[in-house]
Amino acid sequence: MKRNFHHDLLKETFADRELDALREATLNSGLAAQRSQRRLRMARNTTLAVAPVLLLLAATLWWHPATAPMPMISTAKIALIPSLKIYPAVKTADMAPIPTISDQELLALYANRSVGLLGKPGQQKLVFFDQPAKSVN
Amino acid sequence: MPSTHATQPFFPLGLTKIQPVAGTIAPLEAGASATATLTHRLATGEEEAFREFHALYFDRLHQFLLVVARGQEHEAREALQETLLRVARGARVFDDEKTFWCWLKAVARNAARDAGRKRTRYSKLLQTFAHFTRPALPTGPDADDDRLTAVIDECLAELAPEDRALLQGKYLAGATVNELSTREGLTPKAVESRLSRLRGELRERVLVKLRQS
Repeated sequence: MKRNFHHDLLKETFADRELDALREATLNSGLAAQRSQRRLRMARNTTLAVAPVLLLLAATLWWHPATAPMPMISTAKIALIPSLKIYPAVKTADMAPIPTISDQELLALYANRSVGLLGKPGQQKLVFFDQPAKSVN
Repeated sequence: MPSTHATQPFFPLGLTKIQPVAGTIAPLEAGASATATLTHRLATGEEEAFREFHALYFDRLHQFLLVVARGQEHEAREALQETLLRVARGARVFDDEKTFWCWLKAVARNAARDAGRKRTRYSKLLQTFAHFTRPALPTGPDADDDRLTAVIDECLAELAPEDRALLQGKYLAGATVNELSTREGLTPKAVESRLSRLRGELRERVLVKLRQS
């Protein structure tokens, strides 16, 4: 009772237009702040809900690259790797020596065909006359 | 036990019932108190709950801040505005009214202190000087509430007996203006006018006493 007496007396003692305006303003600003807070909370909850899904998706794509479409540059890399490995592996010492034959021995290999050697010595070409012209080095 | 939504950095000592759980508001238990229901609705951002809270606590917080601001009405109103905004942004769930009021007072004190920090260095210097020269005040959780009650009683005691009787008849006994006019042998308009004058006088006395405290 006494508490209400003091409260009511003070309330009416300090009541004025300025306080009424403040009452209205604080109510409106409080409601606006509450709405803003609610929007923030909703955005945060949405982010929290979506983030794990996105992370899972990203992790799946990262750990299984074969399922993803192969980019063009990868093909080029794959094509280059074997050739790079072959070149250092070639060792002429391990291979059998290439036999050298004379012009007569070469022509003797095609004795039943119409052939001839054309050109300067050292740059000669073997030409078959019984078929359309085709250069053979 | 209701959980709370923690956004306020200040955490008053001794309030063991406040348990902040970041980002979560637990559902309300069945048979919860009116304060628990109101604060839960506030914490979930219900607009109607803020309207109810505002209607219930606006004047009480204003009176409390008048004491905190030592009768400086402008500062009290500025702090009140900030307090209500902080409650709207970071309300928590409380089981009982006493704990809720303690938390509200802590938020209000912080708002008043922060508003004070914004003022100029010169006025801060003056306040510091005034703080060291003024007598010590009673301390404790209800010191400011008790202080205001004591000031009103002092001011009422200083009024003329017939004026005091009129105010007590209106606010303590709850008599209507017509009843008072019959008792005093005055017209209702004259009683209204006298009450208005007495309230003005009381207001000035209260503010002066708070400034001097």
